[in-house]
Amino acid sequence: MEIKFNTLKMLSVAFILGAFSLSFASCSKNDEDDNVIPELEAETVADLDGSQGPVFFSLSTGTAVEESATTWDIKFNNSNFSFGNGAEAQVMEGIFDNLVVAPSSAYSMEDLAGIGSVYTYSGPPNHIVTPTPGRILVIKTHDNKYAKIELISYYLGNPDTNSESFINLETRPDSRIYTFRYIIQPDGSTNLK
Amino acid sequence: MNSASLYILSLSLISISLHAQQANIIFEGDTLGSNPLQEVVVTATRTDKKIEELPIPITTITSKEIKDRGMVRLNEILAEQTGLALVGDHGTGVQMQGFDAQYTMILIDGEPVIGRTSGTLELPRITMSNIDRIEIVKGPSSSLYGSEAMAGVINIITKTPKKGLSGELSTRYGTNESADVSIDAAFRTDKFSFSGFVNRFSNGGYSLMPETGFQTVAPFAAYTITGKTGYQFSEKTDLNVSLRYYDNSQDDRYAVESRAVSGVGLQRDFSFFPSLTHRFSDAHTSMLRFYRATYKTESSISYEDTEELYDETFFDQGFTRGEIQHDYTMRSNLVLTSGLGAQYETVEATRYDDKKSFNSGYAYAQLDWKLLDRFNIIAGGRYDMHNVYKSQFSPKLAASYRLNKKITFLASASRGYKAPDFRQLYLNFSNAVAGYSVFGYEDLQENLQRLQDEGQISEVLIDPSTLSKLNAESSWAYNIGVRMRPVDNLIANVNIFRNDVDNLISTASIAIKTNGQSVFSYFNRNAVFTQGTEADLTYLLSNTLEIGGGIQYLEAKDVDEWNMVKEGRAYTRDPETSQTVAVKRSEYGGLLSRSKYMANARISYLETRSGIRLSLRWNYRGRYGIRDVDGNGIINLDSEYVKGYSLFNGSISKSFLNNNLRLQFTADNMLGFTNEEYISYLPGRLLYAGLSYSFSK
Repeated sequence: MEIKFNTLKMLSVAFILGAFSLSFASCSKNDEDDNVIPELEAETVADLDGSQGPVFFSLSTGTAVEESATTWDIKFNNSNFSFGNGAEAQVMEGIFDNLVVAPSSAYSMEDLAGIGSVYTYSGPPNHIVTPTPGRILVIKTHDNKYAKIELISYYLGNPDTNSESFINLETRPDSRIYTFRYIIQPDGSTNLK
Repeated sequence: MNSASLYILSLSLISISLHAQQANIIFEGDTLGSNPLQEVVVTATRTDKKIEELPIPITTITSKEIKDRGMVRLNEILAEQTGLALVGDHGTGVQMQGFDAQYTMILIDGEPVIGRTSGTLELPRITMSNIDRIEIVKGPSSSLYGSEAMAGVINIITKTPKKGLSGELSTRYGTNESADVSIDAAFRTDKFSFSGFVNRFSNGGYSLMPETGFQTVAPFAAYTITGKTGYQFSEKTDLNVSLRYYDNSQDDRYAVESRAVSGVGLQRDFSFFPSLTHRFSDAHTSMLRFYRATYKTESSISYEDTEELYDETFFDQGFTRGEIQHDYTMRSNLVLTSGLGAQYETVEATRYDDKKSFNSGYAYAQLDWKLLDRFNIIAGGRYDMHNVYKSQFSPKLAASYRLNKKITFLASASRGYKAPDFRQLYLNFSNAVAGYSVFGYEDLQENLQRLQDEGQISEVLIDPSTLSKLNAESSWAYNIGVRMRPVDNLIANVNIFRNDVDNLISTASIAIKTNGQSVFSYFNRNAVFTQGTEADLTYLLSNTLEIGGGIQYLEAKDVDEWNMVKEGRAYTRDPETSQTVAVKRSEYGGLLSRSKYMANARISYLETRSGIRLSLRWNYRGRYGIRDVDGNGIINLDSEYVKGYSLFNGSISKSFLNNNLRLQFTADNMLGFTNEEYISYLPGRLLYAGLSYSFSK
């Protein structure tokens, strides 16, 4: 009796374990990255201050410029974007490093509303704007170069938007201070690797 | 039923209980447990059948277990069952095999309880007074019950009175001014039986965020009154009639844009259920059933400062069904069960244009075949015809193989479905504050045209005339399991399940209004699957000590989302660098509100000399997804989950006067766990004292 009971217990334990391992097996494989090793170097722009009004950025010089300058490509205005001096843009989906070729068409000079495309707004009660994961702004610059931009933060100092001090509106860093990284291909080709 | 007759009914019940004070005392079995596999159940096959012969997994909860745990409402007992989780969404409902509350059918004596809000049937509506047992069948039972039984069926079986006169008065009072009082009485002779009860359940409400000045759950008082009578015309023919009435009034008070609004919400439901059984011969039995149920709500809410009306709504639902079932025992090992029915449903409500109605008819058949004493095979199906959506055929095949006295293997494949409900077909709702509109599929074209004529539409995204008809949601389900009784005192069940669900109905934007808001309608859009395994064990260590426990492992995933994750097209941001990375497979959390792990353990002990009974239970619900934080629309970050939690419940009771009087103390959620942000149905620690007196003569 005793022996039989133990055998059955073993059997049932084995059965349960078998069932569990079966269900785990289906999700344990293929979790490693298959990212591309980039050849061009990405520039990171930290804390570009748009809190006092729109800020104009030139990708070819890598700096903010005056509105009157003929070299700006992209205007950061709250969570919206405009493109100037003939620059055009489109939003693509994917991982920044893996976007190795810029599309040759489908760019637009139209203003771009960031919320719902490259930004996500959490709504009440926290009212947080975060860059939407997997969205890349691809730009054809004013001087016909191809570039890609990944937005990183909408707030001063790229804070952790899940932290207590961020959730608390009293201690939340200023908004409309942009951090992003970009790659521009100087040779005019669509290669963005 | 009017209030005068209710009054008379309750008075007569009270007088019966007073009259019987000097009744004789019957000794009730004083030890725990018997052989649960010999229990006869009805839900899985719609015929009486012993659990050990069923090829379908079934759980039963006896009224004794419910009483020993000091429980008075359905939500309390379901919360402690292996594989079930409570969910708060327009009420407290139950999640089964990873399905939302709307996919579990709740029956009383085999007839459906109606009245759902956004798909949830409020479980505390159902009292545990005067019940015999609860039967839970997991996995679709549409082959017998039709729509709604896609996740499973919970059938509450009411008591059949003992011979003679019996009755009980039971009370429970505790935290949040929660009071439950029941008086029930029953009488039975050889040919006639009557039983009935009156129950009052009230609560002072509670607030999880007292600083707001508003209550999370409003105070309410609910009455349930039932009567059931049976008459045996002859050895061959019985008639049974059941009536049930429920009335709840609730004092609502909450804030709308920083202004307090308040008012009363009323809810009433009523059901009438006569059935006639005739045994033509040993081989042939027929049962004729009629069921009529109504469910009404009314609510009027006004601003407290100006007394101006804020919102006034009503909802009236009616359900009528006639059915005949015939059981034919072709041979001692072969039973054919078949049935035919017709159903008429209506709804009239503030948010529907006019009175809407559904007609449907159905037929079902099932063969129950015992083979070589070891196999039991059940094959059956049900065909549902409906005047609004496509007809459905729901087959089921289940088989068990008894290896020996100790082990039985079970396997089944079946189809489940859920019909589009009134809301999905006919809703006509515009939110005055936010400005969006939602229209049911059937009236979509008409309502959209009206908005266009009024110049309210700026862009139509999908032309409604190009839409295909809204279909029922449907699933294929597979279950394999083993039922074990390795020693006399131990029962263990293990089941593995998989449900593939298609055509899930969800809302999507169909047009943009000039105010920038959307017009929504319902579509058959998503496919999901749920799969997992469940194990439960009960071990009677001695005649007075019982332990048990259970676990469930669950995966519930949206097929599109899961494909995106598998193909590396679901993105999130690395918490260190804030740069986009692909969501890993192991990070995908599946559908909202589903816990991957749930577990429970229980121990009950009877000290025979003092008559003290002790019951302690632990329930664990693992973390589950609640919201999207990173903007990718799926659950993948730790911050997108509600943390897992444990609840400890216990009760202690002592019986006096030969078990007729019982004093009980109950502590639910002893550690006082609350989550004010996400779990509205957990008020914290609940302490109750209960006293009950029963007699029989």
